[in-house]
Amino acid sequence: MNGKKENLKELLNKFYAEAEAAKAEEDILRGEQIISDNPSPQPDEKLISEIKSRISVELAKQDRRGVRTYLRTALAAAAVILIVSGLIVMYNHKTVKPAGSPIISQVGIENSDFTADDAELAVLAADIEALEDEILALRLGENGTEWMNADEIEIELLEINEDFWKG
Amino acid sequence: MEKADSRDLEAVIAGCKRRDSESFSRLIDVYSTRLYGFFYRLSGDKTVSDDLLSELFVKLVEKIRHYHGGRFEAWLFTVASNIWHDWLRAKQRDDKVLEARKEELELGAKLKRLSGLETEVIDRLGWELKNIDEQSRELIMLRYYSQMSFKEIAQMQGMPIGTVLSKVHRGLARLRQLMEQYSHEW
Repeated sequence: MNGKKENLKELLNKFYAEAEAAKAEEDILRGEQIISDNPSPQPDEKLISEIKSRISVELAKQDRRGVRTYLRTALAAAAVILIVSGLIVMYNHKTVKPAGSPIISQVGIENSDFTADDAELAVLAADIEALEDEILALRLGENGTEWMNADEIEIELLEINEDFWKG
Repeated sequence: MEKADSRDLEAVIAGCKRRDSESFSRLIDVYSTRLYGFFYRLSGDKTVSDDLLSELFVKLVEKIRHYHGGRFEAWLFTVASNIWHDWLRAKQRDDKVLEARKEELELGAKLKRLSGLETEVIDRLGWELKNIDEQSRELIMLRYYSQMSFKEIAQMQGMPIGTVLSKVHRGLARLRQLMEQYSHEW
């Protein structure tokens, strides 16, 4: 077993004095010769056959695992494609509006509770309601104070109404 | 032991990477003797060497794709060295358990026979190698069986080249002394 590609003498000279390097070289070469002269046992033929069979089994097992992984990946990819296609179709179906349909969704307007969203709006609504009551009372002759006539009230109502739309 | 020139070897490795059973078979034919010798000279035990050699080649099925060029022997013996160290660590754990059990049951002699390395000595060299420290023994065997240069071994082990050189030298000088002493005695 002498395939080492190096100049042992040169290498040893870098680390040892000349006489020591020569001794070290001799020790190394002689030591390695002793190992060569006392070879280790060889692996049994039976062991080698067993290893080869184990490797064939291992390769087959891994190939099967590879096919299974490939199939699983392909199925997963197909499922994702189907789901995405379905979602795209559903989304397109929902967003296409029939001609002549209202621009603002009716559902949105019907379900909106403005008083809850805007405190100011609530105050204005209350004022309008109070004025309406007063108008009604005047018309019915229930209000004895007569500090504001119906026209004045109507003007104030219109002003409030205008303020409301100005925001 | 079969030999393979570098072009043959490249083809064999490429075949192994393609997961070709025949290429693995060829790789086993080329390297099994050297790897077996490496494991045997470190463990001194045939059964352990059988197991480690099998483990190594089965692991190669998976690991061969991580080989990306460079000297194949250096890569292969690095894998072998890692397997040896894993085994050593496992053995040290087992030995601790055995030791505890031995004290508990007071069956020292019987358990020592079961513990492997201490008792199974097949040849004189194997016996004398046990008198050399573990690290030097591994470096000597790496150099001998992998045919790596001191520089390659130093790189592989992450050690300064001077340290590798000194350990191999002292180890082999001691081995020589022990073996020659034995020859004179007999």
